[in-house]
Amino acid sequence: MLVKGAGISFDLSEDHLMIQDMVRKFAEKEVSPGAGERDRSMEFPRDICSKLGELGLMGVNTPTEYGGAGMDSISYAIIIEELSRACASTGVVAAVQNTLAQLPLYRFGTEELKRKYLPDLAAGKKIGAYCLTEPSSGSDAGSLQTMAQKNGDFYFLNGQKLFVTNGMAADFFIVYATIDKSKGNKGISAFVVERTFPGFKIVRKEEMLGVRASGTAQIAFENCRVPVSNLIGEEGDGFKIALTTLDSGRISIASQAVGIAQGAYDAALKYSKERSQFGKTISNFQFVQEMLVDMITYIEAARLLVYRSSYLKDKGVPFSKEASMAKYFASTMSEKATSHALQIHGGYGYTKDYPVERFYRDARVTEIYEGTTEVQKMVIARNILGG
Amino acid sequence: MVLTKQQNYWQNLAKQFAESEVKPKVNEMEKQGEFPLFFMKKLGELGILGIGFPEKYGGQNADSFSFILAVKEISKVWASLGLSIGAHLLGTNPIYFAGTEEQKKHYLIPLVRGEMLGAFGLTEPSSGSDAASSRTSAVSVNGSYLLNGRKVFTTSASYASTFVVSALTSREKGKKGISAFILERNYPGLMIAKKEEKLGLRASDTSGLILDGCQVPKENLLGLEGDGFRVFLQTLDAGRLGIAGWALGIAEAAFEQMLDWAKKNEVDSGLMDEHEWEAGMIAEAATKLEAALLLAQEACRVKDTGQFYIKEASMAKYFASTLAVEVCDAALKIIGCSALTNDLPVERYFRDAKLGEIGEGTSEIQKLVIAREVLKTSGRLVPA
Repeated sequence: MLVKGAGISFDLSEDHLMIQDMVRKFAEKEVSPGAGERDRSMEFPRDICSKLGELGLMGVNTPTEYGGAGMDSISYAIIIEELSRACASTGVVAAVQNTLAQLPLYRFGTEELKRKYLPDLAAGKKIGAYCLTEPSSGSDAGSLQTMAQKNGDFYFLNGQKLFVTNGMAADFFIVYATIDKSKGNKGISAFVVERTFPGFKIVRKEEMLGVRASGTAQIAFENCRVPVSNLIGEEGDGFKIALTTLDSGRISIASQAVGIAQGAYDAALKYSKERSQFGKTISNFQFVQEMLVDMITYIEAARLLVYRSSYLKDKGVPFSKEASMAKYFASTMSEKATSHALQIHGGYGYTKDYPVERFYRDARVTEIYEGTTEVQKMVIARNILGG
Repeated sequence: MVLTKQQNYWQNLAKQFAESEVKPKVNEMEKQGEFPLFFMKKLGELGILGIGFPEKYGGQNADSFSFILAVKEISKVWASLGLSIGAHLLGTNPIYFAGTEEQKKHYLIPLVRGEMLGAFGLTEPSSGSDAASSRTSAVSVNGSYLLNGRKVFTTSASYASTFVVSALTSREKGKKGISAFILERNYPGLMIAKKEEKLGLRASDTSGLILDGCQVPKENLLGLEGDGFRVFLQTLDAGRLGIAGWALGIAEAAFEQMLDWAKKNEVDSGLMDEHEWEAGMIAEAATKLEAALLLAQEACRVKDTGQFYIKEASMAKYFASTLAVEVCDAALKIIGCSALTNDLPVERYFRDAKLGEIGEGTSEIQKLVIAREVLKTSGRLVPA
């Protein structure tokens, strides 16, 4: 529906184009070459994080006074797309660093917390992560079990967190815990926890289908001692902080999904013009054309949804529904597009000689993390139906 | 589905073997990429590799669907092993279809019994779907053929004792210039090339063959010069049925994971109010699994009557392989993040399933075959 305020614009600004060009060149030169090897070895792209920090790409939306670049959300979407197009792991690592780790701080943190943590994160000198999901609380974040008990100048955290992207490499963690289970959502509070705090423990590294270089970890808190000053906002603000952060996080993942699909499409288009069967390049076959056409049409539609939600976010109007639409559409599209790309490559696509099997594995998680496709549909349904 | 006594027997035997002997080893062997040579021998001893072959060639003289059911049960536990069976049959069937009695005695019987491992070399770097464009050549010299060329994606190549390969005995004749040969592993000039690293099926071996003046005795020509294309098409028809069974095995395995999860999370107690979405996916998968099995059964029935079953085989393969990808995807959706880690086998199923849409003719090729056959028979879409 085209309505007032929907933010229709088909031109990127000069600034946006410059950023796109800069990140694309960086990704082609620095990110793409090692992507296959990192996927195999599950090695976290720590060096790339430092370089991204130097380029100002690790605190894209973070205000400049705290060391960030203070750019708009469309720039951010472009950056995550371009990184993911080369390496989906790097894309999600940067997304978690930029949004999940820093937004709770610059939106809800005290001046002291902002000064203490944001500059190093925005510079890529330190890595940040986000601990919300637990063994028995995924989509239903309100039911989390990790406890925070206040005692003097400290909170003591006890509990387990799962699927913590960047977890293996991170220095700082945004952690959600409840101060009182009986209060439900209103008991949830957010903390900054440093890796060196006593009682912080990495349980294990997850071996996964895709985004294998994202340092995804299981984490445990065993009487983990957190200074009272590391509470973000007030006690009980956690649920609001989590939801606000995830709205923006959805734009990240939608951008990542678009980038993965674009990378797969680029590879498939190139291959279809090189590979000959039955006396002509396979790009001449209608089946192949249909797949390419579907891919690029859906990629462009998804990208526009991403830009629209980013635009609304920058305008400061509600964008939760639009972010969910972007994520739902882009992640579903990405799964389909990467499958087409693999199919166009035939037997070669099934091997690790070409990058498409990696894109195919990487795309899958975009339908799951930061709210599954089904949760996005619930958000959209709630928005259009009310209540 | 009603099965005959014979079909029940083979299905149960395969299931029992897969559950009790194969299953405990799968995770480790798949992770290490360890080829299941030992299990292939075992399958030979149990008669499973010989289900569809006559007794006089060491087989069990059972029907085609018995074999497909056995492949399904084994693939359900381990797709890499199921695929190795498929590849073995590709290397065995051409000899059964076109071999002389001498060749059958020498090669077919040990292959059927699993004493030898077979492989099939058709695909070349520049000739995949377009199998007729192969470039490997065979020149007759002093009572031998000298073969030169390269094969890629030869399943089980690193472990096979015999290979059936295609080569051109005449460049001018096009498809009619393609001939089939039986090669033994130790023939001079036969080398195994690079082993492929793949998305899934890591314990299944996929390697290339290099034929550098490979010397093949004249008596190892299969059929006559120029018979190759026909023999390979016939072999691929049977192979497609095998892939249908293989894909169904993966689909059933993913379906069971989905059901386990649903039961554990008490989806069954809330179907009408809060779990309609899961219910929908479960119902859709269950229905399509039945349909896929029926297509495979029908293709086997037509095959066993001795008629052409190319359309039926392509339909069975196309439907089952698409379904396997779909069901794996549905299982990932229902189970969520936990299914992406290797704590559950679902991520393995998801990686493995994709091959079904590619190997032994992509889905696009199957559709072309089906369309051609349907157009040829002027619209009688449903078998009477």
